[in-house]
Amino acid sequence: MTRLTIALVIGLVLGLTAGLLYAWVISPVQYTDINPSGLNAAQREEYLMLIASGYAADGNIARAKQRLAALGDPDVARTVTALAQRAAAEGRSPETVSALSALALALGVGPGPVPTAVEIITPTGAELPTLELPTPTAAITLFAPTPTGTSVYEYELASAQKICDPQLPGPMIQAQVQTADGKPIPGVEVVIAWDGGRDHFFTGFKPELGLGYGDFAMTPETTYSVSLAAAKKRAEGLFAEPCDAGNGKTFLGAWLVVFRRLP
Amino acid sequence: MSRNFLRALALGGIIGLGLGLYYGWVVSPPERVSSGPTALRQDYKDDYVLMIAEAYSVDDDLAQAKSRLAALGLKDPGPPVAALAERLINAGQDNADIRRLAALAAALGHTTPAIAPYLP
Repeated sequence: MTRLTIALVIGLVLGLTAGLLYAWVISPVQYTDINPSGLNAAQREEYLMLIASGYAADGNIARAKQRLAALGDPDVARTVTALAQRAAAEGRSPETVSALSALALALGVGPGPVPTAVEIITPTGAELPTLELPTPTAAITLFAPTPTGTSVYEYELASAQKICDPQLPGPMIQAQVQTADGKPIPGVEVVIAWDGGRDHFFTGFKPELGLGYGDFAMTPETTYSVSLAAAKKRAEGLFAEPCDAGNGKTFLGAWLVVFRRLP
Repeated sequence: MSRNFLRALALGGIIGLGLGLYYGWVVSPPERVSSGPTALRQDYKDDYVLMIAEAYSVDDDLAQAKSRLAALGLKDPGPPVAALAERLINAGQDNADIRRLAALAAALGHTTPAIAPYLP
């Protein structure tokens, strides 16, 4: 390599470094007259929340869609859903969470897949799924829950069914929260309580299982209750019951609890 | 150091500088970390203000509305909110939107004769 080539390469490297330093640090591009798609990530979320609040105020989905289109998001329904879940998890105001959830529903978030193909155990002779008793002597009892928060909507306990699915990773409580016409609702807080303990989760954190879905791993020989902050009733007396695996062995089953939003 | 060496160094520097600027400004500009609502086009800014008024009508949270208006660079937001309401009045826009803007302007301590009829 000749000395001239070496000088050229050194000059190139120095010039390139100086150019990048100037363009990225000293005088970066200034954006003006942008549309909402050019907002930074945090401001895009704020914009989405404002669109949801606007929809909550005027109920005009055409206007909401027009505003959302300006964000240039190819899957805006999922983005809104994810934001609703995060807003709920972060403890944002019930108005904000409800507005985002309502917008996600209005955008046509379809029902998620049923968690898995399950064997639903129902009492012999029953035409419709009914509450399965944990033991012959115990019963799922329905109580008016102690109010734990505020919500724009009220919910009812639609069903609580024991499911025997060997594909499930273990005994668990699966919760589904739906609208009156069966559409999943993300971002709803589900409260699990047991003797000496209490936990909660939000629906929609496993979108592959449905936007209104959430689950909780059960500990054997522990009895649980499941409720929503705004539900009129809760399911009680749920515990991991043995299921017949078909080869003389048993495994611990799960519970599917469905809450439905009142119209 | 020969004159040709210096010429080659300068030539390389100029080419490198040009390439660096082109890459940094055009090909891969920095992430838009500073692109907040103040950079929005005026019609989007107007809609942003309207959405803030809509949100205020739902949550009645004036502190949050002020914070959002401040993000638009509006230090004294009452007059511009009222001005937007008046523009919507003059353009014959939706009365519900005008009422929400008028309510927000009033909550911010600013009313005008034009928007007064839209206040509760």
